[in-house]
Formats: sequence, structure tokens, C-alpha cells
Amino acid sequence: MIKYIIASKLRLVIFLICILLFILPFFWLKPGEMDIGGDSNGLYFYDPISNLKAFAIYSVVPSGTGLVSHNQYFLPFLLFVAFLKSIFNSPTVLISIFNGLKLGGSFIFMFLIIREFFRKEKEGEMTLAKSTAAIIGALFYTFSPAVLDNMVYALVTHSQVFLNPMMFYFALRYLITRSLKYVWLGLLITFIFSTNFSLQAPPPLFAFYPLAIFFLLAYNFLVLQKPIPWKGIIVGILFFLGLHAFHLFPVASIVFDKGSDFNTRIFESTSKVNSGLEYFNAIRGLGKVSDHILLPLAGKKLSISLIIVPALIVLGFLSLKRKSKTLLLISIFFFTTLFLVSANITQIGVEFYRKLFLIPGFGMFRGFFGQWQWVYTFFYALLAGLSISYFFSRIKKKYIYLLSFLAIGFLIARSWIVFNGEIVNVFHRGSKDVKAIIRVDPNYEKILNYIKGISNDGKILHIPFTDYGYNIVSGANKGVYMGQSMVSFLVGKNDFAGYQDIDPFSEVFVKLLKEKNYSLIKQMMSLLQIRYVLYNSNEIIYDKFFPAFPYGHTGAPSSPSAALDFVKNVSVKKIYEAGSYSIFKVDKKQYLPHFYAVSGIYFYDTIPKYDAKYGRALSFFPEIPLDNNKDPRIAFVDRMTCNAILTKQICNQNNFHSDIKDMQIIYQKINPAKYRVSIKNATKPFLLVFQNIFSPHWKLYSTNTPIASKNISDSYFDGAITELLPIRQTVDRNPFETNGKKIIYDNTHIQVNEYANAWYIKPNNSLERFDYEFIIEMTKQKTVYYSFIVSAISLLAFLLYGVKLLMKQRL
Amino acid sequence: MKKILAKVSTSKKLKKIESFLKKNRNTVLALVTISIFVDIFFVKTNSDVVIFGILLLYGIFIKMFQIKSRRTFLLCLALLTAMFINFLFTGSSIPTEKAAVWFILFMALGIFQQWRENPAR
Repeated sequence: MIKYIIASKLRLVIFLICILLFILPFFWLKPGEMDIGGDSNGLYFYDPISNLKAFAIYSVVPSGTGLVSHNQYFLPFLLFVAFLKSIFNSPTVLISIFNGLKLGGSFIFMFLIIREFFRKEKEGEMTLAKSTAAIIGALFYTFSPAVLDNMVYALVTHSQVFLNPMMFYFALRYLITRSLKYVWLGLLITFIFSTNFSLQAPPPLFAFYPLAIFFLLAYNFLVLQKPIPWKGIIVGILFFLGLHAFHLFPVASIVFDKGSDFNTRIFESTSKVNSGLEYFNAIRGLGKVSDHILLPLAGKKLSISLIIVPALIVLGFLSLKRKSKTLLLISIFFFTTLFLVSANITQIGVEFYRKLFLIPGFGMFRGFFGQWQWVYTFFYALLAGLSISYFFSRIKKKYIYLLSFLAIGFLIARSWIVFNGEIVNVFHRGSKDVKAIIRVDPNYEKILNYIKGISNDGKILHIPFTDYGYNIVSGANKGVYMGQSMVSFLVGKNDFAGYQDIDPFSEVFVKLLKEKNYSLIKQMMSLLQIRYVLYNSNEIIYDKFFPAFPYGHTGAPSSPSAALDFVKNVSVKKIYEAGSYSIFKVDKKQYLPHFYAVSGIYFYDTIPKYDAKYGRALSFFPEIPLDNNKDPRIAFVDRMTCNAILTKQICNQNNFHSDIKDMQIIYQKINPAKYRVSIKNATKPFLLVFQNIFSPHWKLYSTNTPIASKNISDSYFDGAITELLPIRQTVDRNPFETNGKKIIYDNTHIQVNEYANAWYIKPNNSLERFDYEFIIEMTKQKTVYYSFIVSAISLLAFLLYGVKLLMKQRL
Repeated sequence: MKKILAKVSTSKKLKKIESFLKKNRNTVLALVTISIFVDIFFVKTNSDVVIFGILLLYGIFIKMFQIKSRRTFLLCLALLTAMFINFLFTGSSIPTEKAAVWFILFMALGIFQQWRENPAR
């Protein structure tokens, strides 16, 4: 390998640049520091296995009210990160490795692609003109805003900056050589970085690959003039579907599930207009053609360097003396992607763009300048590499050196933040110089361990409470983590960190907070199954240091003392303290466990003068108490829904009380997607509430196996409800136990409290059967299990196929 | 349609116009260039009629005056410089955006023109 590298000067230069780019990120962070915040967080660097257990196996999200979402696409990636963590044992090193891959990988694969084009474009060796042009093209991509500006708060899909060129290179090499090893390598990469090939986060996938495939087919047909390699395409598609079945099939089943949010967003015309086109219209003005031609980094607009590469491209075209199909093809794709990324090229162009939103699924590109930037930069860099080589081939060597030096020098100067580490060492927006890089506070680790040990499944309310659902955690280095909740995504405990998490009560909560109406806030907390409050007294996370963001809208307490006052008003006792963190618990009499039988049903109509959602939720919390009922085991049922389960006469009343005096409920969490429930002495009809977000895919199965009532975690309402210790299985040991079992009470499965599941159960007194055993399961999880089997078989076949290819190559 | 085109091409008046334009080729091209820069710097509204009108006119002049793609790319360089200077002083203002759109359209036209005039390998 070393001999191969030093055999050529060019190879050595490329190798050195690549190594330099790879090691640069190792100087960005001090030992122990992490850059893990942001919308999709980087908690997997901190603790990949806990992260995997918390949210990637089961399709029920561990935050808020437990939304159903198939996050299995994280599995191979998290296992890969866990494997690296077992070697390097440091999240800082892991983050640096991934950032190094982004820089070094971007550069090397862009260089290799441009070199491949040169090989076909002009015969002979890589001349100085071609080499320097390819280096400029590759560096232009590596130091582009698409790569650098997204490095901080990086989404997990940001790996596309090196995966896109890498996959493109493998595909190109396959087209040129017809060697299936490139298909195999490409598939292996898609499997490891499965997060970038998921339908759950589709824009990166659909923005790049359709255009790249179309380009490659056109290149194959026009430049290589070879037949379409059907064998490789079929092998690739079959293995891809098989390997990725574990996440593609469950999501695909939702896409075609009529009535699901996914289906509505993609196929319903009103949704396409509302969620796609209207959003596009609102932000269209932000698409700037000049920004995309000059590609300034955020906050570094005044730079002379911005014109160098575009000018060299024009000079390249000026120097071209013969037809170049490759250059023409790249130009066409450059203009197409420029149109898509900027959206503002002539009024006819804008009108045409609007029409694109009628295509099912195109709504995913409503944030067009964000979604198309990577594919655009990719083709822009290819155009730069190729056209600059034509210009350089027309000028003297000394001018090539001079211009290359200038171009690369300016690119480096413009991107100096990469070299001094400012790229990730930033302050939180809207904060008073609070660092986004944190070192996790050992006291917070104690808190996470304490929460891990809590055996009941009561939910947690975070104070301070943010406007955007971000969890704010102070670090040991005066930095602050802002991202998805660490409690949810590392411990797997459902919690409420901000406004978006407490949907459908978000706006009502804002109102009650402003009124300081603690009794109704407590009622709301019970309807959300909140049992604990996690309070942080460190003032660095309050609005003294974050005056503009992310507080203000909800009116939640904005100083440590006001927050403590709130906590004391809604809780009864501090149960644990570590450093600035404390856990309080709420009054047990007020707490509604995960399952409860309802003593009073309240029927509601939407308050018409408000927005429908707000109007409905507000009707649960009237200023005057509903009646003299002191039992918190209540449920709110929409009058229309009521008609489906109860008589009209009952539904026309304001409320309806059930006799649940002697009834006993015992429940146990098997895993986030499956629960066991045992009901005893049910002599009269009752409503059984399950406090997870409503989904028709939660099903109630009848079973004959009685629940083992030992290992009690807690009991509520004088023993009327008993919660057993959860069965902590990472993977369900009996995933298909409900197969062949009868789904019951499906026609009386309704939504209550504006979000939760409930079943109206009528005991069959003629059989004198008063005891029931149920399994409550999220049936979509079974689709995941079946898909796992397909993926496991495919992985085995794929590995064997790899061995076969390797042996064939050796022979 | 062909008959109409044949009539138009043989029309005496049109021939006169053509010969007049050919005589004043540089002035005509200078006027086109000036009108683009006037649109960039002095007209605050965006109009597709202006953009595509001038592009069509330029397309006709390419045919009429046998203009080479080289000239189009030189115009592109001028537009790029104008865009860049505007960008430095005013950011992504209306003139900058207009210059950017003109630059992109002329680049596309230039590449198409070059494809037609350059010999194959």
C-alpha cells in the first residue's frame, strides 16, 4: 500500500491531503468534550448501546406520549458506532473520526470521481493541469457550505457529505469495469450507514440518488457507450431491499396505510398543498441564486475568494475547443440542481417549481435550499474539476501553479474555521456566549442512573421547560447540551422537555402557566402520566444566558428560583439530588398510571371560538370544576366518538359514571410495544385507558395465561391498580406470542383525552366470567420482527456472495 | 408554416433590417449588453418578458452575426463580476440576484452554443 502511494507524486500528495483533512477534527475538541446537540442529536457517540436500547429496537418513541415511529434504521449504524466505541472508548475520539471521515472522505472520493472522468475524457496520464483541477474540484466540495456549515449540530444524515461521493464512485467504477465487487462494497456501506438510506428521513436519499442514477445511466449510454448492466442492477436492488428490509418494510407499510400521517402527507392533495406548497411559498424568498453560485460560508460573506472557482469555470468553457459529452452532461445536471436548490430562476421557473409539488412525496423538498444543497454542490464541484482542467491545459505550467496556489489558498483562507476548530466550537444561537460543546456533568450521569433504576413507568417533566421540545442540560465545562432528551434517548424513559412534547395540551399548558393555575396543571400532568419532575437549578440554562432562544413563548419559569417555585407547587417531595439536579415526585393520589379504569367519563364538544385542537383540549380544564368528583380516574371522550360505544341517551349527558369499586387491574410492561394486563372482578362495563398516543395498531388480545402477580413495583388507588416490575428484555423473547390469538374489543377502541387509547369493555355476565387476561401490543412491531428475519437471511446471503466474489478475484 | 417562414425570409423589408443590423453589429450587441446591465442595476422589478425577450434577441443575433460562444462566455465573466461586486457591497440584493440569473441563463446559452460549434473528438 505504502509502496503504491509513494510510487507516484500525485498519489502521495492526495494521500497527504486526505490524511491532513482526516486528522484536523482531532484538534477541534479537548478530551471529554462532545458536540452532540441538535435536532437529531449525537447521543450515540456518548453511549451507543443505551441509545440503541432506548429507541432503535421498538417502534414506540420513548419521549412524550409515545408516538409510533419506526426507528430501526439506526440499528446497524449504532452497532457500528458501538463497535468503534469498544475500540477507542472515547466519544470525543469517535466524533473526531466521523468528522475526519466527512472531510477526508469527501475529498478523496470527489478526487477519484473527477479522475475517472478524465480517464474517459482525455487519454493519457494525469497531467499537471488535470491533477490540480481535480484537487481544486475536490477541495471546493470539501470546503463548501454544504459540508462545513452543517458540521455543527450535525444531523445523523450529514454523513451523506462523504457517502454521496463514495457511492457515486463505486457505481461509476462498476459501470466502467463491470466488476461486481463495487456493487458489493456499495451495498455494505449502505447497510452500515443505514441511517442515510431510510424512508424515515427521506430527503437526503431522494435528493441525491435518483439524480445520480440518472446521470450515471446517461453517462453509460452517451460516454461509455455500453449496454445497461442489468445483472449488477438486479443484484444491487435485490440485496438492497433484503438488507434494508428491517427498516424499509415497516415504513413502507405505513406509507400505504390509508389514514396514516405518512400516507396523507404523500398522497392527499390538500395535504400536498398545505404541508408542501404553502411552506415552499412562505420560504421561497430565501432561495438566493447568487448565494448558490458563490457559496459563501455562513457568516463569512465578504470574501474575495468566492469568485475564484466560478471564474475559473467560465474560463474553462472559454478554453474548450472540442465537444465534451461528460462536461455537457455535468453542466445539464449542474443547471438542474441549481434550479432545484435556488427555486428563483425566472417567474416561469417558479411556476414550474410550484407544479412539482403535485408529484406525490415532493413535499419533502419544501425546505428546498436545505434539501438540494448536497447534490447541487456535488455537481458544482464536478463541473469545477472538469472545466478548470480545460483552462489549465491551455496555460503555461507556472500559471497553473500560480492559479492553483491562489484558488486553494483562498479556499483554505475562507474555510479557516476548519483549521482553528471554530467550526464546532460555537456558542448557542440566541445565548450569551454559552458553548455548544459539552463535557457531561458526572452529577447528571448520577441522575440518569437513578432514573434508570426507577421501576415504575411514570413519566418525567423537565424544568426548565423549553419552547421547542429541546432538552437543555448543563455540562461540566460551562457548555450546554441542547437537543433531544437525554432521559428519553439514553434511558428510554418517557418525558416532556418542551412545548411540542406535551401535544395536545401545549397551548393550554401555556395558558395555565401564565395564570399560575397549579391545580389544573396538576390535572394536566395526571392526564399525561407525569410522576416526576426533573429540576436543574444551574442558572446557565435559564434565560439569563438564553435571552432569545429557546424560552419565551411558553411562559415557563425562566429563572432558577421561579422554576423551583413552580416545581414545589406541582410536586410533593424531593426524592433525589445530585449537584444542581433534583428529582421531585408528584402526589401519588393525583397520579394516573399507564393503565386505569375510568370512574367518570366526561363528554365534550369543541369550544367553537378557538382553534379546534385548542378548543377541544381547553374544554378538559374548565375554570369551574366539572363536578364534585374527587377521583382523578377520569377520561374525556368526544361526543361523536361516544356514539360509537354508548347509547345516544348517555352521550347527550355531560358525564357518565362507572362503578369500578371492586375492580382490580394488574399490569406489566413487557417492552415499549407490549404490555400484559389482568383485570379482576369486572362485573360492569368500563373504559380501560392506556396512556400512550392513540394508534389503531395498538390491539387488545385475549390470552389464557394468567399474569404472575409477584414482583410488584407499585400500587395505586388503594390497590385497585397494581403495576408489576417491568420485564427488561432488550429484545422480545416471545415476539410472536399473539399470533393466532384473537383481537378483541377492536370496534370499541377509541381515543380519549384527545390523545390516549381506550377500550370500552363489556363483561359477559351470562358466562359469569369476571376476570380477564389481555396482551396489549403494537402490531406494527410484528412487521418489524418479520422484516428482521428477511434482513438476517439477506445479510447471510450477502456475506456469502462477498466471499464468492473474493475467491473469484483471487483465482 | 414553412410558407410563412419562406415569405418572411424573402421579405425585402426584413432583408433591409438584417443588413442594417449587420452593418451596425457592434452597436447592436453593445445595446443588448447595456440593456442587460440597465435591467440589473436600474430596474427593480423582475420580468420574464424582458429576460426571455433579450435572450431571444441574442439568440437571433448569434445566428445572424455568427457570434461565437467565446463572446457569450466573456459576457458571462462580466455578469459574474457584476454579481460578485454587488454581492460584496449589498449581499443577496435584487441587483445581485438579477445578475446571478442573467449569468446562469447566458452560461446555459453559451454551453449550448459551444456544443453546436465545437467539433467532435
